[in-house]
Amino acid sequence: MAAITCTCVNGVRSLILGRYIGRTILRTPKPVITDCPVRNLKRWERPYMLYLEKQRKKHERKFGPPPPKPRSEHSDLPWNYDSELYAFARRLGEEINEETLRAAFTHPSFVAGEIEKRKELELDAELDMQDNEELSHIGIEFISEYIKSYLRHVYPNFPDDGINATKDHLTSVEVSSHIASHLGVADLIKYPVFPFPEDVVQKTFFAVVGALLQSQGPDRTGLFVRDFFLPQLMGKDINDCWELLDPMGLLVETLQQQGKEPPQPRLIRQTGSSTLVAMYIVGIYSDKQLIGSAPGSSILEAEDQATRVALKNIFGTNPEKSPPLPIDGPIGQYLHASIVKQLKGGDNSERVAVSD
Amino acid sequence: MASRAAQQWGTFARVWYLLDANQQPPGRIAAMVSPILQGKHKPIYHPLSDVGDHVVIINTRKIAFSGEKWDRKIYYHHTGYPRGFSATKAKDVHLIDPTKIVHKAIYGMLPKTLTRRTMMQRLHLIPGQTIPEDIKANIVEQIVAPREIPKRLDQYTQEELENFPKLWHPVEDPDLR
Repeated sequence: MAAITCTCVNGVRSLILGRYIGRTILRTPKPVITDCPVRNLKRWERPYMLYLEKQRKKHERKFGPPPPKPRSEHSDLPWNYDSELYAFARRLGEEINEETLRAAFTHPSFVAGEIEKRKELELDAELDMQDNEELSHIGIEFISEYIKSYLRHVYPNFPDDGINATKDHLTSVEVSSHIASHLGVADLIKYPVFPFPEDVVQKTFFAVVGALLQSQGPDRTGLFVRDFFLPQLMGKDINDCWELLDPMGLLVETLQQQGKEPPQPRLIRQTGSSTLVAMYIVGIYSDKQLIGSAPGSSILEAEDQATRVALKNIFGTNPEKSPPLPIDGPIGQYLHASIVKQLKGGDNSERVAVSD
Repeated sequence: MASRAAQQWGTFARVWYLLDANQQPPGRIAAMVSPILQGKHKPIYHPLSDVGDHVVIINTRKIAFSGEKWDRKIYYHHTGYPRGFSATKAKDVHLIDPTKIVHKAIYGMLPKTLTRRTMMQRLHLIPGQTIPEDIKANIVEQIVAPREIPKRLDQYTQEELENFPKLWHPVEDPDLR
């Protein structure tokens, strides 16, 4: 790829073919009077750039897009792994032990690969490389405990199954690798195959959290988990994480435990019963008080929906009626402090920990 | 709240209204029914959204024009062919088809767009009292008729007549005999 440089008073401006076409070539640049010899594009530049772009597109159409390359192999980037590691930690605003961080990004299969290469080259098979197996276990354990404790504090009436389901959703491969990729974890992973599978990214992210825990302790790590995992719940109904197959059974059980009357479903409104687009609104009553109502395209569906709404109302997790998650602010800070105290204290805390 | 699908179903559901046209002026009925057919009574209204409701009007045979409109109001129609012009009095139109007057009144009050025909399909006119079973199953709400029907003398009970306040009592004048 050719590069055209221009040294103006304002600094170095380099045009890289194919990359900056949309930005610079196809628009008339503003005329700037400088002592630069290349003031603006020459007459031949635009047609040449367009020709090169056409060739590139033709190649892409014939052979498909070019295979993805890891960040370290992007030709125009000067890649220094140590600096990148340091920058990663600083970007997060955390100070992490360099060795631990290096270990956190090294996958066990990478270490195995390196050992094999050494064997082939008939060098010493002993390698002083640590992998992230243990760190990832430490990380996921802390993340799970923090999330469960947080949710238990915010939703005191939500059953353990629901909290565990939400925790599973937040620490699932999709969500964790999504967070990790956006933090730049994916660029620093040491794994033999590129592109990295999502569970490798997830494992590395947990290992990073484990490394942070070992370097800084539960307070800072708790803040990290709170700031990066919990906002994924914003705008999401946490009841959707929990797959309830028998909502009516659970409602009967819950009302019984609370010493209330069993639920009575009643048809409140309906319209268009003989049409294909019939709508029924069913309400669930307990002791003649309405605890939940919902519409549906059939009476059974409406009853099912109404039962779920009633459960949401009882658990206090109805997104329409409950306040947003207290992530920051005075409530959030107090919440974080109490969670860290509980995690440190272990069995001495007042609140019972969520059982798996 | 319920799932998004259930919420959407509830929001966009079509409601079936009933209106009794007995002794009602057809123009005023049309003025009440037209916004319901368009969906203007809903916060989700948009002219292109097709959110109108169904209206079932019964007793269209019993509509009541005020004044002398039965004789004076003329419905004009041209078939498009030569010598196809006709002018028919309201009473004759009503005899031919007892739903036509209400139909024309509502049709004229709807917006003159392509959606008008769809809205008219959601209007169900019944000349008498008997509603077909499938339509009857759908009806959920009733629209209050615009005109308060006055009572006839023979519809008052004897008690009401006796207790009605009188300005003067007719007394037998011996001189008039």
